[in-house]
Formats: sequence, structure tokens, C-alpha cells
Amino acid sequence: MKRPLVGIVDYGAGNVENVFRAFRALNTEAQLVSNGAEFSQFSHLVIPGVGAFNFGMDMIHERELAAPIHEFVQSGKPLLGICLGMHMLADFGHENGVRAGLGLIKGEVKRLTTLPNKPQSETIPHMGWDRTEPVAKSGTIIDLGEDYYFAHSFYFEVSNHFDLSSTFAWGETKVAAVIQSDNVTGAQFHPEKSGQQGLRLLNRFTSVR
Amino acid sequence: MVTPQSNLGTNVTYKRIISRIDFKDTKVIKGIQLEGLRVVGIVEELTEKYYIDGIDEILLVDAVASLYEKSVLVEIIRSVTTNCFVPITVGGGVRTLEQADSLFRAGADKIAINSAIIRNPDLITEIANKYGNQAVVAHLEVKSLGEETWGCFVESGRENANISVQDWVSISESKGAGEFLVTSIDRDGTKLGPDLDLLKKIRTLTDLPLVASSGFRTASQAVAALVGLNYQGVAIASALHYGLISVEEFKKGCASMGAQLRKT
Repeated sequence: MKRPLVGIVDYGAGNVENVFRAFRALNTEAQLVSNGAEFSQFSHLVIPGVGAFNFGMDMIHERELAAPIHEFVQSGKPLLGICLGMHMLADFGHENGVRAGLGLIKGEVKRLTTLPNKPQSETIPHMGWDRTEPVAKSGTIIDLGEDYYFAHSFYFEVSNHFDLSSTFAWGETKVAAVIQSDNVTGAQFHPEKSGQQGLRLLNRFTSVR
Repeated sequence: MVTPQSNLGTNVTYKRIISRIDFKDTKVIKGIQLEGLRVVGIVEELTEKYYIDGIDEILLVDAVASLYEKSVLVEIIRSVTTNCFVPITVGGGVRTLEQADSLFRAGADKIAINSAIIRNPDLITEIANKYGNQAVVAHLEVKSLGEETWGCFVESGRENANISVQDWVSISESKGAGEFLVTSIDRDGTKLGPDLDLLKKIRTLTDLPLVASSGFRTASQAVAALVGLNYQGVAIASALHYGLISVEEFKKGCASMGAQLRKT
């Protein structure tokens, strides 16, 4: 089987270099890519990111990356969105008003403050390491339920329960940690910042063909 | 949304044990009360060691804040993040969005802001709009000015900012900071334990995540802040740098006293 070649979408937001370094530590070949016309040469695509939904979508459109991302997904190859990259997979984001996302996984991105019954010990932003719990489902499972690093004030509310791959606990509520719909996967946490557990997750992602 | 499942044990976000590394050029330095700095190691060597030992996060502070070319800082972050896959906060003299851009680009996950909160508080908003609130840490450097009274300092503790702790916290929060780092200048490098009165005071002022720095030598001192006052993290410097305790011993001690920590 051919070795994977990972494209890391460099759209001008977030620390793309950290994702690159994580793949380098795994001896997986990876390149930063900012030109959508080059996506087809990659076996896997990663959309990294931190921060603001609207800013991220502005960057995606400014660089005309939405159509090439959709084409990549239609080709059947695996795509992983991380944190903001995961959020932008949604139909809509509710940051300041409503903004359309890439519409690759059905759902909406909302503030953690809109969840009921915030446990007293939790803070917003949800910042730090947390345990995930796999949700029984079919498909490729890349999160076996481990400790990962989270840093976010928004969460992904899936429309279809079966798109949930794993969750983290927010008091009594289970919130999306990994979501998956066919070849599109999103991770709320930062695998590139989650020690050996995170590196192993990235390795499982690139083992998917 | 997912149906709540009540019978499963609910996990809370783990407490963070953070290694604080104050440096000048590529040398790790440590003084007492931010004075009398001594070289205790090389930045990259220590960060890699602490990472392997299971540290949860790294806090890098350019101790001579802004006196040096930012390009040095960028090189250090690049080098540190090559073999260290935990979050990294960088502080020390960040004054403009462009400087923050280059630090994020090099691999920083969060930027800690101190002097700029007084000189240019809108910088917090600019960074938060671009990178999210979770990427901006408001760094309080505090000295005791008498019983239950504290003053905020800037420029590595050299200059009184003449602003109350309350005002500092409320300005930072309203401008969009996502976390506070609390340095007690009186306790820095003393290993005498944290100023719990100060930490308690700040906990009453904000619901944001809080990280306590300065004075930590033992796990029980850390647990007093983490569990007793619901701090989200503690930053340790001297005790680790001088080998008085290892990351593993420290974490084991905290866990045995009820602080929930990640598996390493």
C-alpha cells in the first residue's frame, strides 16, 4: 500500500506548524497546502485551527478553499477537522449571528454557555485535559476513549446522533469530542497537543484509506 | 443534543500541572522574587524532559521581557515544539498583534499578556478575535501592599501599574481574555507555598480558568489551590528545575490528595 501523504490546510488561522510537527514525529509525510488546486495529490487532508468561526470561514472563502475541500471529500479520501477545523464542518455557526459553515457534517456550533447546568468545577473556556468516551457505532473508530487537550468556548451540536463517535462529559451532558460522517471526521480537542495519546490518534487517522 | 446519561460517572476536566520556564536567550533562569536570576538549564532540554515526565502544559516566560529581539523567542518556540506535544503558553513583552501572530505561527498555543494590559488593553481583543478567547492569558503579577491589599505590577515586576487587582481582572475579562495566570512576586522562587489569600481573592472576582504560579514546592500546596480554591492549574518552576521534586512525584502527590489529573 502506498504511504500516506497528508495535506495540512494552511488558511491563515491557527498554528498549522504544530500539526505538521506531530506528523513529522510520527514519520508520516505531510505538507502545508494553501492552494486548493493541489489538494488532489494528498491521501489525507487535515483542517487545523484555533479560534473564531467567522474569522476562519472568512479565510476559507478569501482563499477559495470551500469548493476544493468539498471535491476532496467527494473523492472519498479521509478528511480531519481539528477544533475550529471541526467546527467549520458544520452547517452553521452561532458566533455573532448565524454564519454558514462548510456543511460537511450536519449540525450547528454553539457557545458552551448555552448548555444547561454548567457544573461548578468547570470553566468556560473549557481548557485543559479531559477524558473522552467512545459511543458505540459502526465505522472507523479513531478515538478509543483517552485523555486529550481541549481549549474551546464553542461546541458542535450534531443533528444526527449516529455522527457522534466519542463524547466528553460536561456535567451530566455528553458533548461531541469526535464526530464522523463517512470519510469526514472532526475532533474537538487538539491531538497535536495531546501527548502520545494524540499522536496515536493521528496515526489511526492516517491508517484509514 | 445527546441524551444525558445520569448513571455514568461524570468526569470533570482535569487539573493541570504546568512547568513554568523563565528564560533569557536560550537559558532557563530562576531568581527569587523576580530578582537575582541564575542560569539553571537550557530551555529545549528542560521542556523535553518535563514532557517525557508527563507535564500537562508548558509556560515559557521571557524574563527580560521585550529587551530582546522577538526573533530569538520565535526560534525558541520552534525548537521547543519540535519534540514537545503539550500546550505551550508564551509570555514576556508581547505588545502587538504582529508579534502575537509570529509566536502563534511558531507554535505557541496561548499568549500571556502583562504590561500590554495597561498600555494597550485592546490588544487582548485583537488577539481574541483572531485566535479565540482561549488563546489569551491575562498575566497578573502581584505584590502584597499590606493586609488583604495587593498591587499589580508590570515590566517583570519593576513597575507598579497603580491599578487594583479587581480592575485588572475586570478589564482583562471584558476585553476577552480566556484565562488568568496569577504570579505572586512575593512568593516567586521562595518555595514557601502560594499566597492563598491572594488566590482566594482572585477566585471570587472571575469564573474564568485560573492558573496559580509562585512558591509551589509540595503537592499539598498545589492541592490547596487546585481543590481548595478551584484553580484549574498550578505552575511550578524552581522545585522542578532544582530537582527538589519530579513531575511524576508531584502529580502522584496531587492525585493522592484528591486532584483529578490526566493519565500519562
